[in-house]
Amino acid sequence: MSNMSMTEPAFFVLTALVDRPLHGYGIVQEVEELSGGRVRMKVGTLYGVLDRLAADELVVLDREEVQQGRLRRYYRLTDAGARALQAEAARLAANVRSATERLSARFGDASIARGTA
Amino acid sequence: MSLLEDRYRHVLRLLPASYRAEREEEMVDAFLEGSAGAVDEHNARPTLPEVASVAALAIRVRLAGGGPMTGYVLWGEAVRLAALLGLGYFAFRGWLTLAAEVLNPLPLDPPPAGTAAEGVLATAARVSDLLGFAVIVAFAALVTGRVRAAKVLASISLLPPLAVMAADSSVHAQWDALSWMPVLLMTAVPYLALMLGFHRDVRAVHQPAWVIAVPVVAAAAYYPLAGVGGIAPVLALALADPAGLAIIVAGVGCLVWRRVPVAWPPALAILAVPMVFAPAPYSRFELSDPLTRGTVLVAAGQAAVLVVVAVMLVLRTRRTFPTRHGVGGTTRAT
Repeated sequence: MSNMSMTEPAFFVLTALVDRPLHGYGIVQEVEELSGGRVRMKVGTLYGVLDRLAADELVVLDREEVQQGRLRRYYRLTDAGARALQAEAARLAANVRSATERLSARFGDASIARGTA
Repeated sequence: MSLLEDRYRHVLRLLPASYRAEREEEMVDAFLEGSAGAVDEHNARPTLPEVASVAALAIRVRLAGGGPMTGYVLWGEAVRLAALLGLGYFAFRGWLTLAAEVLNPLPLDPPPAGTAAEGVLATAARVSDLLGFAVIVAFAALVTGRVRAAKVLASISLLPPLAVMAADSSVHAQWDALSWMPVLLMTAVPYLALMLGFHRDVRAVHQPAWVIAVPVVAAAAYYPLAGVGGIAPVLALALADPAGLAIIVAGVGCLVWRRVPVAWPPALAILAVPMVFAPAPYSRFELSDPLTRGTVLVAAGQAAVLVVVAVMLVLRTRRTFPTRHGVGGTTRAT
């Protein structure tokens, strides 16, 4: 992951796991909420992202439970995952700051704050 | 088991068995939790986006981009190598066409003997040649690790032959499958290898810069032999199909030289598949003159040798590839 930019789903999955370990559908729900309903991950996509994050040791298996006879695995963020997320958040924040400054110069602070530029 | 669960498990069969052994139960759990309310009476089935996500995952797993050296990683490397070699071949063809355009230019207007429709076809073929140069840049982009640019350019270079095929079909009022299938296969196999093999899990790999020059040097060496300039038509007959010959030579090299990287034999076997069909259009030729008989004989002989070499490459691959596939990265942290 360090040599590649983080995809949006990976960013949201890591963010979803900041507070507590979650299982597959728990992550899907959390990502949907974090993105304001914009990102609804399909199961195949979720496990592709989890595979990549696990291979990069950004998330690990926390525990397994059996619910209604089916296996449920919980994943949690590693310290390396938290650092990667922090770095990505800082990068995105810097991008937002740059864009906001330019837009402020063009439209004025008030309209940017209202989002009506 | 509900109908929906049964259908979803059926979709999951797209994934390799080893991956399913590791992941199937939790994927089913996640899917069914997200499908709460779906009942058998409504004939519930996984949505197309859900199926597509599993199919995409299956490709990424089967053509893995990194991690421990499992068979999937090696197959991924083989497919990516096939894409590189295939694109390299089309870059070679592009350079040959470019050389012919510069050294032996044809008039832009088609000869007046044909009908208007044939004139359109000739012009379309000429435009196809010119636009096909995009593949030269696509190859350079892939060599230098610019995968996205390579995919876009390769897609562009694919459009002209498709347009010519469409023009040909409209001129002759039918699709000539026997003539076009070999061309389509030869184009589609490297293109699909590029599009599927270089997925988002694959780290960009830069090849040495001199690799860009290989198609140029090969085209410079082949041009006088190919009869493009009308220099040596007899040799051109013997070397009727440079791609097939190159695969045979490289394939035999792989079989003889034991220390060849393991991705090469399967990559060459993949590329050999469409080449086997190359002589198909000759099947309708009447073998009335020595030149035609020679051409058909060379093409058929080359295809037969290709089949033998491809089978031996597959057998070599089966011996050298690991048979156990693992799904890495989900070990519990201590």
